[in-house]
Amino acid sequence: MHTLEFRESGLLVRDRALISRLYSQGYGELLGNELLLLPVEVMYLAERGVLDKELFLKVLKTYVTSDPDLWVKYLVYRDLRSRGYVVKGGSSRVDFRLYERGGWKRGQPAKYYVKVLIEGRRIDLDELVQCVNEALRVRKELILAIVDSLGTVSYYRVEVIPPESKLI
Amino acid sequence: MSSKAQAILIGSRVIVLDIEKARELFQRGFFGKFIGIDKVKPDEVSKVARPLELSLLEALYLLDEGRIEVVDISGKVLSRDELLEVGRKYIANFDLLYEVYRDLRSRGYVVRTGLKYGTYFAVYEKGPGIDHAPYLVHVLEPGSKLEPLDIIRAGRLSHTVRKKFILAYRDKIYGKVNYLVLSWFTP
Repeated sequence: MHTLEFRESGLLVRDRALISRLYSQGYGELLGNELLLLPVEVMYLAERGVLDKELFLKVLKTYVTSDPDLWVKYLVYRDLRSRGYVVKGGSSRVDFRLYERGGWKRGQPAKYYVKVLIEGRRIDLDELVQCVNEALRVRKELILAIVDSLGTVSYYRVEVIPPESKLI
Repeated sequence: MSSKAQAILIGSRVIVLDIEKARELFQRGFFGKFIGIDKVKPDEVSKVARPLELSLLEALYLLDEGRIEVVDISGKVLSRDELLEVGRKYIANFDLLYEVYRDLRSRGYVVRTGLKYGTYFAVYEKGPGIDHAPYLVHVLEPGSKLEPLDIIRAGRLSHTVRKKFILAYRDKIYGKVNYLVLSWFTP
C-alpha cells in the first residue's frame, strides 16, 4: 500500500499514479507535485478500500484532537460523496465546497458551500449571516448540513434576500 | 370630512366599530379580523356586519399610513408615540416586530399573524383565502442563537404548506431588516 505523510492540515500523497487517479476523481488539492488529502477524504478512501483500511482509525485518532467535530464532518462528507458528489475543503468558516454532479469534471467551480451543524449545538445568528455572505461573495449558495444525534444528515439551503425585492 | 377610520384602543386591543370602515380595512390590504369570524372570503366581505379587531402592529401601521386614527375609551386621540408605548408595554420586541411587519408590507405582501402556524407572521402574496398557503416568517432578535432543532422544526412546519421558510433579522451593520430564506434541500 502507498505511504501517506501526515501533515497538520491533512495527508500528503507522493505516488504519481495514485495522485492522478485520486485527483481526477475529485479528491485532494494539488500542491506542486504532491496531493494533499483532507482527513475526511483519507477516511472515506480507507473505508472504501482504495487506501489501506487501517488508515481509517489512524487518521481519525490523529486529527480528532485538533478537530473534535471530525467524526460528524466525516458523516456529512461521506453522505455527499456516496451520493456521487465531489466534495472539497471549505474555508475557515464553512466546512466544504460541494460541486454539482459532473461539475468538477467539467472544470466548473463548486456551486455550494456546506456548513455542518450539530444537533444540540447552537449557532449564532451573526455567524450564520457571515457564512451566507461569504458564500455570496464567491457566488455560491450556502447549504446547512444538520447532523442529528444518530448521525442522520438533513440539508437546508439558505438564501439572502436583497433589500426591497420580493422574498420568494 | 375625514376618510380615516376611527379605532378604539381597549386595553391591548384595537377595535374598529364602524362596519363600513371595517370592511374597507379588510378589503384593502387584509387588515384585522372580524370579531368571531375566522375566515372571510374576499367576495363575502360586503355581507359581514361585525366590528373589526386590529393587532397593535396593524394599528400602528395603519396609523403611519394615515388610514386610521386611534382613540382611547374616553375618545381622546392617541399620538403615534402613545400607541407605540402601548405596543411596547404589551408585546415583547415590539419595535423589531414592527420593523419587520412594515418592511414586509412595503414589499407588497399581506402580513397576518402566524400564530396558528407557530410563527410570528404568515405572509401572503395576494391574501388569505386567495393564496394556497402563506409563507412563514420567524423574527430573530439581535444576538440570537439558532438551535439546529429549530431549523428542522421550522422546516417541517413550513414543508406541510410551503417549501420555504423565512428568518427575519435586523442587519447589524446597516440596521435594516434582512431575510434568510431556508428551504429543504435534497442533494
